Amino acid sequence: MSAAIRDAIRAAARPLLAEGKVSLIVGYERGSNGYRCRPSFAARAGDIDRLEWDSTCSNNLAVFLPGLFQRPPQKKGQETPLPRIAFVAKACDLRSIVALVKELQAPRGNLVLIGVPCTGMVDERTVREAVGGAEVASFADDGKAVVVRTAAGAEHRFEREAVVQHACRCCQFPVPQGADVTVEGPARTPGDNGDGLVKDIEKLPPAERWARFSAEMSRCIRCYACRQACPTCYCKECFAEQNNPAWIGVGAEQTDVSIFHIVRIFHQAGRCVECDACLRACPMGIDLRTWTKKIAADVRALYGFTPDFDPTGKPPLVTFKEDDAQEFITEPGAQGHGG
Amino acid sequence: MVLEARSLAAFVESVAKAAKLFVPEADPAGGTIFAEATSATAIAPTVPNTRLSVKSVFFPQREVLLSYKESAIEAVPGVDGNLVVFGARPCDARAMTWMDEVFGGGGREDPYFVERRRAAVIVAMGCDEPCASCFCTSVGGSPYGTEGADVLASRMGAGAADLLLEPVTEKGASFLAKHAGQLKPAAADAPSARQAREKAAASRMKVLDFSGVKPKMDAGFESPAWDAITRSCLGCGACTYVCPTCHCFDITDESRGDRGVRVRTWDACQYSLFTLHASGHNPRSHKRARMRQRLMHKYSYAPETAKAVFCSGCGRCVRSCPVNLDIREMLAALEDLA
Amino acid sequence: MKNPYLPMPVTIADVTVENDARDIKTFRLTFDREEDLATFDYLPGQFAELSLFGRGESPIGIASSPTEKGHLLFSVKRMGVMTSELHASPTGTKMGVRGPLGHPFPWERLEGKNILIVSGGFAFTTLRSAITYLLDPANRSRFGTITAVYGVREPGELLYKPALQQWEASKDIAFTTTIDRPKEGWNGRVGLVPVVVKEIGPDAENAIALVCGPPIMIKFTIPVLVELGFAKEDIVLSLENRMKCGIGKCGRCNVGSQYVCLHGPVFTWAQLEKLPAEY
Repeated sequence: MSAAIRDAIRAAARPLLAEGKVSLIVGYERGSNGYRCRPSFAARAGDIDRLEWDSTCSNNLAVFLPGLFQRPPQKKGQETPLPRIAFVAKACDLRSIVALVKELQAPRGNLVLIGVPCTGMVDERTVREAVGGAEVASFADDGKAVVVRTAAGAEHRFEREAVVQHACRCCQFPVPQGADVTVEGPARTPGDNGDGLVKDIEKLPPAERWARFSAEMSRCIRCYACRQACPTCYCKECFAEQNNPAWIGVGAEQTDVSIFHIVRIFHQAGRCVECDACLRACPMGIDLRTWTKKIAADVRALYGFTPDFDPTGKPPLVTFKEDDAQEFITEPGAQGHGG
Repeated sequence: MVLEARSLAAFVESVAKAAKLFVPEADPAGGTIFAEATSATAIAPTVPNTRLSVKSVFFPQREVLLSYKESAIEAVPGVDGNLVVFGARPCDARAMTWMDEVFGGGGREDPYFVERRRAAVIVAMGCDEPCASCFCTSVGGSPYGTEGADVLASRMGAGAADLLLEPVTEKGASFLAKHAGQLKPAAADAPSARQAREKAAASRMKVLDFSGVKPKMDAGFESPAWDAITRSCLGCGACTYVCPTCHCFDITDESRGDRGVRVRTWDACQYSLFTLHASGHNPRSHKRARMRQRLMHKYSYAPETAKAVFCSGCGRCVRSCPVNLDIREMLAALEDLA
Repeated sequence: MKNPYLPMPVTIADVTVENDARDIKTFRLTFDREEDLATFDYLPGQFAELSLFGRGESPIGIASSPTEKGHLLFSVKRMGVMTSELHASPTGTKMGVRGPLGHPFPWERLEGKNILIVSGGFAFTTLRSAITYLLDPANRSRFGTITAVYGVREPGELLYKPALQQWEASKDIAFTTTIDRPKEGWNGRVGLVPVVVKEIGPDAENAIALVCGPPIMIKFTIPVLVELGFAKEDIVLSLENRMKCGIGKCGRCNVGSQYVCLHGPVFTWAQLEKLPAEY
């Protein structure tokens, strides 16, 4: 099944390069440990045959967009042309790309988006834990079951849904919209956006919520993998690294770590597509999901907005409507949305 | 000496009474990390290795160098060098010898690191299950290597539940003598069983040849191959932080009012701001230059100045990279440089 | 074990504004502790980390010569957090110094040689140290002829103006100051440093050149020196790079295998040519 999608992706990508419509295609290829996929960059015809597709294509490829469209300051009238680049895009990748287009990181006209419907990506960590930490040597997915073989030769069989990423289980938008080409393929039934997952956080009184949050973040080593993996974190100088003024210290000290994550996650409000790239990137396995989802849930509750496929829509934090919710200003600390 | 499984608890208690003991402990997010322990129940099986390397015991992520009030130094923290690390892999122990070069050399000793290392005892645990991302044998190491270890521990006995503890250094021998009450003498042929385990473990790893890498890197500094291999790098720094030999750090002041601390924190050449001059000039403004720096520091510069490749093949960088950049593949690609 | 991260306490004894733009100031620092003064053994070419608690440290070349007893001089350009605070600091301010750090100019090799000094802009500071050292009566006879070219964009940018006047008048050194382009009120030499060096055409025989300046000046001066017959090992430069520890441990300032703070900041052109151009 995934082989058919892989072939469809290659078939869509090949003429784009051959006809010079784009100079680069960003997709997925087989990784070095034999079973998971990783980002791939196809600039020549031969590279197209490296493009792959399966249920380990979890990287959010939109993260590469700002860097690919970066140029040094331009002289008016002598601008170097922006590249034209194609992205293989799951729906979550596409929503991130749309967020970036809204923020002028790349003109939509310079992008060719190859949309791929998604049945959900398998969670590497869940699988690893389920096989007792043993090393996974190979992996097969027939759409209903995932069969994993460890390096020691043991075979494990899992119900697919049991090992699909949490982000995918509650995904509201498994089918990309607004792509230039959409390959055919099965998609998950849309989920309910998973806002229920943050209910237990919202029930906690502030002191307990803070304790939960800081305990989880106490393992942070300030490596910034979360920030670098996030498609909508692209500031050239992150607030966390400014020294004039120095908003926070740079080390793994509890207050600094907590503020770094609070501010980073708040900066994602209205922009985060809840793809869990940050969570996957973290070398310490910190649960960032609870908190990114909390922000996303708040934005939904307060402004009725979830980052979607419409590049003309205005993000809620750059618009003002007279009837915007403001209880969090007038009645801070009240239980419920934004509290 | 043999540490029988049934004596482990007493042994750990004995060690923890006499020194600060660090063991791999279960991490809530899966895997293990080094943490201070007082009881054997804390020790968790480590496959293949801890999340963070043993460098975090001697070179913590954040460390106060001095505290100040107004313009005067108020205090300089003392360093507790009475440490025992129980269960570091040989790849981690070996890496500490290179850290010793960096922090102890150059004509000036770093007292924070050196004092911790001076009396510290590292009991290295031989590795029976190297994984696909481990490659210690490709960089001159071994799953039962003793470089940097004071004692080498290897599994033995029925169910491999007992541990053979072999002293490697005088420090290690004194350590074993100190806790001999919990240990039994080993049979004369015990080391040969350990040798057999080592051979078995080593045979599971493919030995790659990196001998041609340095000349190729040096000659191909401006090669476009660097762009190709760094295309997907996110500049996230995870590789450097989990690496046992990456030692870059930042020094910053943190004040509140007229008091504060000058702290040393981990930093990484992978960050775009790492080499940024105050003038705005950045010698490594592109990520290709930053990954090139990382690879060349380990495989070209360190061999020149410290006479060692600064890579022990522990594979953490391979496992932690969000985009599965694999240092072995990158080095192989460089060997193909025209 | 001496802790190399602890700054020695010093006091700002006076402050001189050096340039018209008022963003370069020379600070005269005195040691608060006798033993620190006694053990601060340095040679021209070395640098120190100036420390202001709460702001951090900056690596600054030592502008004074060891022949000037009892104090240290540092000329500092206001660039960032620490240097801005320093510029706002009056005499009497207490701060810190870590050093001396790095390798000095190669004084053993300079014995008996004719010395050519080429400098531009703000990089002249450690050459003030070198020239003052060379011209000291206790040292002068150990060296041959001394020729110096020091250029800046415009007269207001010249550092150490009183000293410049003395050196221009001195018989012990052939000192030329130059500015890039003609400026009203300036009757001295006009011309870019590399061009002026070429015009002067110093003899490369038994000579070593000390070259300190912005990258563009160095780029165009080296071919001139090579053409004049200077061997690559006899062209000596001083590099700058972003630093933190200053002692070769934090990994930030390396150019190839060489740490600018530890193996440098002084390098010969022969050494630099072999290093990657990452500075």
